Amino acid sequence: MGKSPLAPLVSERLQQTSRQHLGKKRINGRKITILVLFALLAGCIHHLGPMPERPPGSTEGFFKAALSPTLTDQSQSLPDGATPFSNRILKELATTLRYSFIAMSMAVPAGLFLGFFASTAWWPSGANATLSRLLLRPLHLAVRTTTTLMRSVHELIWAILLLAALGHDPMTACIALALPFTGTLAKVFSEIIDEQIALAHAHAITSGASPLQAFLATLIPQSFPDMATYTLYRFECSLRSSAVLGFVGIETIGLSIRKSFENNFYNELWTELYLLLVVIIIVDIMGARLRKQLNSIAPRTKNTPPSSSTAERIKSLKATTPRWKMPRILLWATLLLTLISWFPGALGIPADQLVKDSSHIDRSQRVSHFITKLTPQPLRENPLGQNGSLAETAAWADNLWQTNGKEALINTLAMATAAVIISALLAWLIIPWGSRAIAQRHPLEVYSGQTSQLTNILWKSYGIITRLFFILSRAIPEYIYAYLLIGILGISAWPLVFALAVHNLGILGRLWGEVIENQPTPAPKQLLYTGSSRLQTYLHSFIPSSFNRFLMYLFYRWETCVREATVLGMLGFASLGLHIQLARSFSRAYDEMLYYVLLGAAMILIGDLISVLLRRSLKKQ
Amino acid sequence: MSLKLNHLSHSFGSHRTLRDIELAIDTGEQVALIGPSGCGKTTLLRILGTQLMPTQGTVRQLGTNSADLSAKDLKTLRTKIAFIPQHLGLVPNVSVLRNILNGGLGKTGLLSAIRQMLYVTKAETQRVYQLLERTGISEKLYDRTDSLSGGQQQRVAIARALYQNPEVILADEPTSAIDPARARSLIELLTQLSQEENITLAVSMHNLELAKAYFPRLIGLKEGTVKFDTPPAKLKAEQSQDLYLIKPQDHG
Ligand SMILES: Nc1ncnc2c1ncn2[C@@H]1O[C@H](COP(=O)(O)OP(=O)(O)OP(=O)(O)O)[C@@H](O)[C@H]1O
Ligand SMILES: [Mg+2]
Repeated sequence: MGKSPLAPLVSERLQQTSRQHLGKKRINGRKITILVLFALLAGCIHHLGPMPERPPGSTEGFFKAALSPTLTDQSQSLPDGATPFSNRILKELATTLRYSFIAMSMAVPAGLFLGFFASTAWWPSGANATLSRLLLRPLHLAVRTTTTLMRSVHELIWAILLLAALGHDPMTACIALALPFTGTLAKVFSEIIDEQIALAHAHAITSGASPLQAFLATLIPQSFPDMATYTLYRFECSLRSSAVLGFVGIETIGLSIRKSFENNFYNELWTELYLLLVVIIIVDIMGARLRKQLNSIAPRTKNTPPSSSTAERIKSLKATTPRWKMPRILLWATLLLTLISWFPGALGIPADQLVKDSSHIDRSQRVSHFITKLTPQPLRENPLGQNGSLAETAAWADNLWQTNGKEALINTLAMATAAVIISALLAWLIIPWGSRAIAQRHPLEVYSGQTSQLTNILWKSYGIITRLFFILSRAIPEYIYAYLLIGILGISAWPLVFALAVHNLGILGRLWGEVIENQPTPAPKQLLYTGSSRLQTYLHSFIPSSFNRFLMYLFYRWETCVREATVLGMLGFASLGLHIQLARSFSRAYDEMLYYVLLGAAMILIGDLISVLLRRSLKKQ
Repeated sequence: MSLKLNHLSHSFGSHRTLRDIELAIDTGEQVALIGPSGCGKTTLLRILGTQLMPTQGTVRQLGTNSADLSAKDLKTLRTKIAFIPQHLGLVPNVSVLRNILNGGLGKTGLLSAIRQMLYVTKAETQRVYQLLERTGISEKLYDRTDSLSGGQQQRVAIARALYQNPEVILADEPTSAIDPARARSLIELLTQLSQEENITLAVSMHNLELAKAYFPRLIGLKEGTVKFDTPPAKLKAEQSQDLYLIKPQDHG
């Protein structure tokens, strides 16, 4: 608004020249970063060891079945009256959707509430507000800590903990989904709010509004597009997580995926994968459209008819002013589907009960039993305060650390780091070329002379294929990729690393692709006008100008990958997840399980801290 | 006396922006502040608008010294002074209607701010519509604000100022981002509104010709001091030339 269109170009120039001045003696930071990434990757590869020989069995059947998904049961020995396959998977798909609606309907309001207290933009400012800021600070800190703790434990681990504590109810699983999602939503909401340019907010205050009024009237509507798109993205994530809950026995589509794979019913398996893919891709596409619509102005389609009175004129203006339809439709559909998810019976839709009937005494007994078992063994036998009990507990923890903990922690870190770096390197190779800006006949709409129709088609299809690849690779949850890959490649760290890397590449493709598409184009355009090729433009404009942003995404993804790697370990590689799984299912040693969970959470907290510090230093540059 | 500055000085840290300024602006008076970039126009307007406090000296708005006011009284004073910043401070992705309603926040409570997020009354819409008619963009009532041109957005900001029912309007370079013809009609609008409603008006601008044509009083600022304070007819050519003279080391 009122800003010269040249301003970004000018400031970019200034930055460039100042950087050139500084850069004369210093080695280029970007080169160092890339070298460090390669070194880290080599370290991880060395640590995780080579991939084992492929197990003898052939995987041909698995891939062949991709072309012939089935809608009927592959099992020959079904009892009479069993639910047919098609009904079963549809019901499981509906359940998957239902649980994520229920989880999100808890996580979004809770995330908004906590996000409000985690942000500082609405705090009163000025000389006479010192006291209230002093009072708000501890509250702010408490909320931040709570949300960080909530998201430092993966939803699947929350599920394992809560299901063991509260019994096997779907509602428990939904709460387990909602907990880390609340933490993440609160964090992201507060960041979105705090990052808004607060000019309108400041203006409202100088016209006499209170900070809270100004917050509601300016910062909330300003943040709305980002918050709404992020919520939809989170919903997409919750669908994936809800599907994965099937692996711990909740009746979502993951349950069938696991059963079909275990029984080698590959045709069934592919049907289930395709179904999940379709649903998630639809949500993904809706998210992209919503983002576009909320950030742009709807085209005018109707003319305002002349009218006689003011009231009439206002009415006809309201009726003819262009407005996007999709946000409204989405809002109403969401409300309706949430209602159905909570109370299907009220609408005559048969569905499982969220809370299975069991007497309250039973449940409270169960919880207290669980809590007893969570207490470290030495403490249980020798309550706190008695001599030696603390020393024994410390010895117990140290023993766990020496036998498994240390190795598990390092393995988990190495898997996540390797996965992030592999996906980053691939991202540099693929992403910008697939962006709508470059993958077309005239990149950035800069006329590049007569080119053949073939070039045009090749670029366009290259762009479409890469973007499709990204969608596909992020649509399937890491956990399911890892599960399938372990079945195909045998047990080692690498199937898990690949699963993480593929999924992560898909997410980076979306995030970084958006950055590249939303970038101001004068600088790269200028290069193209002066005769640079696509490659030169890519190397000298796109990479430098989005490098820091990309690194920021990498750190953010690294944190997510560590959390995810913890869980993937449950599939059988000696990492934190495996020990959590073993402690739970074989020995029911919940105290040991808690130890590993806390170890993982501590690692996430430290990683979170490092990533915050790194991002801050990147932003300052 | 509407606005009064007494021995007023201001500095950002060690950087002096205003030096010992004496100024009095009467109720309903129309004043143009002119001067080269960096001379302190924005700073002066922000002090008049209670956004900045003077480092030395006093400033009185509408008969009160804003430094002495309680939080509540300061809020009331602020509702009477409408500030139109150079960047306008509009919320880009909401309707013109909503942006103008934001001008009224100071006079209502938190509850009505919440209510307005969900529902805008007929009376409120009508009042906004009438203000938009006066600023000449009534057909934009429901349009997204960032779909308007720079000049139209200026008019939204003026309508928002009027929605405050102000006794003073302070506008910082309202014409800097629009073409000469539109700039002229915008200044015409501001001075006309101030005349009709007896609103004190202080506008900073770079266009000397326009200032001379529409304002009965011109104040020339340079390096934080008042160089002249005269009606346009008495402004000498040397005075205005001197104002914009560039010394070799000074590039704004
Ligand atoms: N927030 C600030 N912190 C420190 N210095 C500032 C700040 N705002 C302005 N200044 C300095 O104060 C001086 C006066 O600035 P001011 O914005 O009042 O000038 P101006 O007359 O409005 O200029 P322009 O015509 O370019 O808008 C300038 O030298 C400027 O660099
Ligand atoms: Mg200024």
